[in-house]
Amino acid sequence: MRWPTSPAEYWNRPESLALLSGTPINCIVLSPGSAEAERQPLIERAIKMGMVVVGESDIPWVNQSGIPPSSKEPFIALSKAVWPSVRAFGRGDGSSAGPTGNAWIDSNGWLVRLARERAPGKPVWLTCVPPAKADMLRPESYTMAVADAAAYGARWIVSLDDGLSAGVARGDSRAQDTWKRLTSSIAFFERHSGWTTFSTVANLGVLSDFAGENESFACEVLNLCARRHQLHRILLKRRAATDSYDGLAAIVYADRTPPENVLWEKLLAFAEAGGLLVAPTAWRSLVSGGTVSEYPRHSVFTAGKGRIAIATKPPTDAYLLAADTQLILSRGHDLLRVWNGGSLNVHVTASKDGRQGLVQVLNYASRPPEHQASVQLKERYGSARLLRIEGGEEEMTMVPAKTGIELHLPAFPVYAAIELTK
Amino acid sequence: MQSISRRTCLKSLGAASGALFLPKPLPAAGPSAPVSLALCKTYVESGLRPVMERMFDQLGRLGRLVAGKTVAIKINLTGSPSYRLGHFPAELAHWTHPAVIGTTVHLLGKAGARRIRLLESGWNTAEPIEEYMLQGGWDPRDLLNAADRVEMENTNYLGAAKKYSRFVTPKGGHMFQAYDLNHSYQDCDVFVSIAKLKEHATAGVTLSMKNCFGITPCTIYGDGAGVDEPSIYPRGGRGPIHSGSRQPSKSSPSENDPNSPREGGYRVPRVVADLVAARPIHLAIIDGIDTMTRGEGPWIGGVRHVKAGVLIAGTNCVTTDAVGTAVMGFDPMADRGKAPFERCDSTLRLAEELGVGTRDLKQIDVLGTPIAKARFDFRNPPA
Repeated sequence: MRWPTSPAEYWNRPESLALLSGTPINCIVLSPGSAEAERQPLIERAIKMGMVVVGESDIPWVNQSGIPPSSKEPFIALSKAVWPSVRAFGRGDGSSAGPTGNAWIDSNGWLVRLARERAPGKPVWLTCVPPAKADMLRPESYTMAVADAAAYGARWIVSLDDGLSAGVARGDSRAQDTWKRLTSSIAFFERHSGWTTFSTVANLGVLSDFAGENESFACEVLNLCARRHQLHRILLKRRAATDSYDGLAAIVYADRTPPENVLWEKLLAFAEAGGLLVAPTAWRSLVSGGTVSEYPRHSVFTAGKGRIAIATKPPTDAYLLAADTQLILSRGHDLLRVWNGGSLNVHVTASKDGRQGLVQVLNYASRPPEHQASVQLKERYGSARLLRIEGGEEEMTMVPAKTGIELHLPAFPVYAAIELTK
Repeated sequence: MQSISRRTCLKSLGAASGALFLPKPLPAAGPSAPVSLALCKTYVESGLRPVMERMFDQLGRLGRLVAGKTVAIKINLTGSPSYRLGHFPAELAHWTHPAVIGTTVHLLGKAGARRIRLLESGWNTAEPIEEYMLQGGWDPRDLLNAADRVEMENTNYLGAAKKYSRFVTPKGGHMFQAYDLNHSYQDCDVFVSIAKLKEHATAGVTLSMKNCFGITPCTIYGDGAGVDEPSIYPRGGRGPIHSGSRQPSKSSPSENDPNSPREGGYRVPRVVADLVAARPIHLAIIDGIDTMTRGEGPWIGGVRHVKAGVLIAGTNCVTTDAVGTAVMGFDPMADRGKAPFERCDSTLRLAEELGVGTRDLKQIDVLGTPIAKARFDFRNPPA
């Protein structure tokens, strides 16, 4: 937790550490420039309590592209995270624009997933501070900050807004409730820490080096695939030689420059074995054979048993690239469908033996939706159990679908998880 | 018959715009054609097919209508496929059910239809309708395999043709003297409208006629339509028709009276009446087995799922919709200010004025179940 500095008369006192009793928080981060002498008793008490105390300037912050291939740091601390929330599209009056109600979501899911791919096995922390507001944030906003990191396997460095830190200091009941809900959200994920060993369920791979001139566009493809509920794996170019593409139906190459020969051979083999490769304009010269079919922004060529889709112009819209990939592959390959999910992100993982599945649903609107959501999974399971972050579990009825199963989600404000078992 | 000078004028308009100007489509059945009404509580084939077979027999056998013909069917897949009324699949609330579509296709095929084309203008997209259906949780193969030579086309843009087809509205139309549509609405011998039995927030009711509002491509009539020429791909909805905020692409006829009210309750019913007069419907089918009240889709507040348990079919869209309106508990002779047209003009009256058909139940032969037995009060549905 980033230890608040205001009001100093409360937060500098060792007694303020009592707030952390019974919570999973075991590390406090001190802001730079804080009066060390005044905080010394606090620091000593924290260490005595078994806490780790670290100065913010001592943390080796990186942005995602700065994570070295074999980092020696014990953890990865991501510096540029967004405050998870939703911004409604529409006519500026807060209403949705007709019968779709698309929303822009700020989420760190793609960032955490990418960091974990770059530094497998290392804990990931991320920092994002609450937006400045006149009043304290709603407790749901904090639950979302916890869940948006933890659902993907990271930990959010808890940061309180000024209203909450002042409210806690004066013993305000609303602040205490918010604090309680925040810490119980953290405890929920600590109880289910085994979920972080599960692997992503996906049949689409997004391949890039996610760095340099490719970083912005490729990362946005990840973000927007998630918004379109397209289950995808992150494929790092530097691991092309060792990564397996088994189980993937399509790979979208998100970089502008053509790949090196070894990777090109591997991708061509993937397509020729039956996969779909979605490639940029510059690859046209690498592909021989006549056009099979034309799509709005791609020409699709046969390649053995599969296809290669070449962009007719350099893609500039990551959303369109994600949409085009899904269309060319066909929605018949969707592993996940979501209805009334305009403000939802859904993360689907499974145990290594495939016997357990996990669907984590994050509702960035932070209030129950007007119409309850449903999800459809292509994979069939024997049982499903819903877990609410606020507490409570219930068995779910699985409705047989044309392919797979459908799960009708009850209303929930921020986060729910569905544990599936075969 | 149109005067030569007007025909010449419109032909030159068509040539100038690049639209394919074609002779008027074959007219639909007479203005007081009978309507078949049936109770049906299930979409299961064993229960649904006998009902629909009987209804089509009552109307005079499909073979006479479709044998050897190309049949185009406008279905209703309104709104985004990822939108539902709560947990209800779209087909139980605001989309025509695939079982009704599939049974219709099957019976048309059995009756000798040479080719059957399922048409819809997918919201905000030019993607194939098959993909649209997949996103909604359907398997399009269920429909593609329901008869021989079944195809689908998204009619929200130019599609497979080189030019749009221009349809002239009889009597000059209420709003537009002509509409430019996807070729599919011309490249057919028989045109079928399969709608859902619903109310409509702007037009009062949405039945077989209002279903055809969606035959207008958004590349010309939509939010993102090109200014001079149609846009290549559709973007957004048909807001400009509702609000009159802008004219269609200049390559298509602009509205007759640019000073007409800029209000959806005025404009939408007139456009619908124009469209069904310009592009006649030969067979109108209304799916009211499972549907919703208070609006046309889950984006309308206060809507709820209901089981009205009815099917309606007829060879004239006005008479069919008049019976549908009555089954919903409304008076088909009602007009603005009276339910269901509290905030709009009556599409039924406006279509009647163009000579499409009659809305007067006294002149309509209702076959099968009497209206009184089938009536389902949409404003006070059972709990």
